[in-house]
Amino acid sequence: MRNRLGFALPLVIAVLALGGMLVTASFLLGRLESQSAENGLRSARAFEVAETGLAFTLAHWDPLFDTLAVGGTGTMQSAAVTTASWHSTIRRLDDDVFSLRSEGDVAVPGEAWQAKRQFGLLLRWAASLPAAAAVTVTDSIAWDGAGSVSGYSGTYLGWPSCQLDSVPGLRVGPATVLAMAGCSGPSCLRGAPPVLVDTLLSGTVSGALAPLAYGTLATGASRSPGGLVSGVAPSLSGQPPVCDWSDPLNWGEPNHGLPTPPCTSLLPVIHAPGDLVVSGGRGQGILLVDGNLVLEGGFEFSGLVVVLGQFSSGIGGAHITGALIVRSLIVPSSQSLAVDYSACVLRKVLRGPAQAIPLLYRSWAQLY
Amino acid sequence: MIVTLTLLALVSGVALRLLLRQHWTGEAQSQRAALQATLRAAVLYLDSEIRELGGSPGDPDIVTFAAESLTYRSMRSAGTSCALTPAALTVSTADLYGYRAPQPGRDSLLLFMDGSPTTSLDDRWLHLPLLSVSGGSCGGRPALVLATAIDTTLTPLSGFPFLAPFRSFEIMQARLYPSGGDYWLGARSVSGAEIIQPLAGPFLLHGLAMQFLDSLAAPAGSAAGIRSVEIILRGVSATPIRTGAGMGLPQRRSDSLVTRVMLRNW
Repeated sequence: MRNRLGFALPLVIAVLALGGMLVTASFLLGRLESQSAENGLRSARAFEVAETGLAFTLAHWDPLFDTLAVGGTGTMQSAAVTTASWHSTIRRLDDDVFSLRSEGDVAVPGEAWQAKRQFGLLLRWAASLPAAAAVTVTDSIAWDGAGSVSGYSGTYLGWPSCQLDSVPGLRVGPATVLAMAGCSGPSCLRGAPPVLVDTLLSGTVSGALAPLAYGTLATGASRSPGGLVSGVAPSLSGQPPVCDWSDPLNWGEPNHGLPTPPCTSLLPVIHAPGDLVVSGGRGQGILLVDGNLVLEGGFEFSGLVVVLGQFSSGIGGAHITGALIVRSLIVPSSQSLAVDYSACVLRKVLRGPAQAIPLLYRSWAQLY
Repeated sequence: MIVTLTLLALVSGVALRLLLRQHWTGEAQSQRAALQATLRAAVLYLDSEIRELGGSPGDPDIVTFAAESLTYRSMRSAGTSCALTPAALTVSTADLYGYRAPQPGRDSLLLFMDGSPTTSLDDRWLHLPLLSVSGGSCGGRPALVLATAIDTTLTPLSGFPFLAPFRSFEIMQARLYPSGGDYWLGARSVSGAEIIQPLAGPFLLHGLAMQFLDSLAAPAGSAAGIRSVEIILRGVSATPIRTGAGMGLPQRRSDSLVTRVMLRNW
């Protein structure tokens, strides 16, 4: 038998090699497709995670963001760092405007790289102010005592965005009974005009408060006093001492100034479900009273005071900077009351219950 | 000998057929992957460009729109100015985010005006030209100085936030266009006076169909009414391929993709 060189083996090897190359190419192509799809999936996840950061930060707005100085930043991040996480940064651009940046990260276990997406949102306060006037009364006024009402908005040290507004001193409805024996001249009653008879003013305090809703404001209350309350004043606790936000008699510090005293950023909503008498002290924020309110002992308050019942000034009188909206108002002959309108104070205190909302136009941005 | 040759012919025939099938399968797979990648790239581009559009009722970002063509303001950068004068806004590079740096002659600016702080109803974005870009600083940090021209008699600087948000944009056009016997999705900068460049393809005739919908998902009558865009893409393989069990005659295969993009800035 002759030993001849065959061709079957080389042919089979060649065919197998070619087949192997084709299979490998096919496999690599499939793997490339799979990786491309996986990248797209991770990018989409990072997109959604970053969007979650925007939505979460808006929905869980930290009140401390309102205390940021212009240019200052605050942060928030997802509760648990898993394979997908976000962190957001709030930056104050002005008194009323903020920017929010959220970065979504999707980590890949066992791999060094991450998928990242970043979005921005421009926000502003959605605070609405009730119709401007220093004092609004729907039913009746009996002002026999001393005092003053001014619709000329002033500037106050430490209160931002103060503008020199001119609003009515007294706003009443067509059916309001006026008895202003103690406060009728320009030395007591000032504004543009001093008295405005608002034909649109309904007979209810809630109507006078529009576009704000009394019930909505009350749901944000952090203090519910009743009966006689005295000793309202800013208070400190801890070491080093900081403003004690938990003290029910701490209604914030209305006397802002330089250096900034503690408790100026505390702007509580105080809701009295019944009658309330406040004797002496000072505070700021929103004071809502379902029943009757008596302020006395030189009590000072900066903000919005709304009384569904009767408001009266007691011994020693009171001073309100902001606005007062009541059903009926009594200042007895031996007492006094001073009310100075301030749009900037109102805007500041109404930020507490207000929501930061995206700008009306072009609020959202892809950040590269 | 005859038996050997017959066997060899048989084996060779089977092997050749196997190799050919594998080749066709590989080629078909490659073409399918390329076709799907084309569709993905096109939809990613359109999605990314359309998503950020919006504007205000009198000032929409969409300039003109048709089923196979869209001309719009494409946002190129966003940030906040650290200093604002009637002639320029200075932007810290740390606060500037963008696809690319602002380019004079090609980009324009939108600057946010707060107006009265008590209401959002008078908020608006002021259109400004971008005259030049130079280096500067924001409190010692590197910055860009974007020269512009603000008419302070109409828009006093007090109406802008202390750190004013701004955007830069260029007018872009994305459309389906024929080239070399096929149809391609292309884009060009209108404000940069560019000619159209291919982005993805090839596509079928009418392979891009955009429907512009209002808030009720009905066809929008005007650019200001558009709230979402439904995009239908019909791509075609670059070369004919054989598919199916019998590996019949080679044909160009097509695939399609449908998506709907919400405009985020309304």
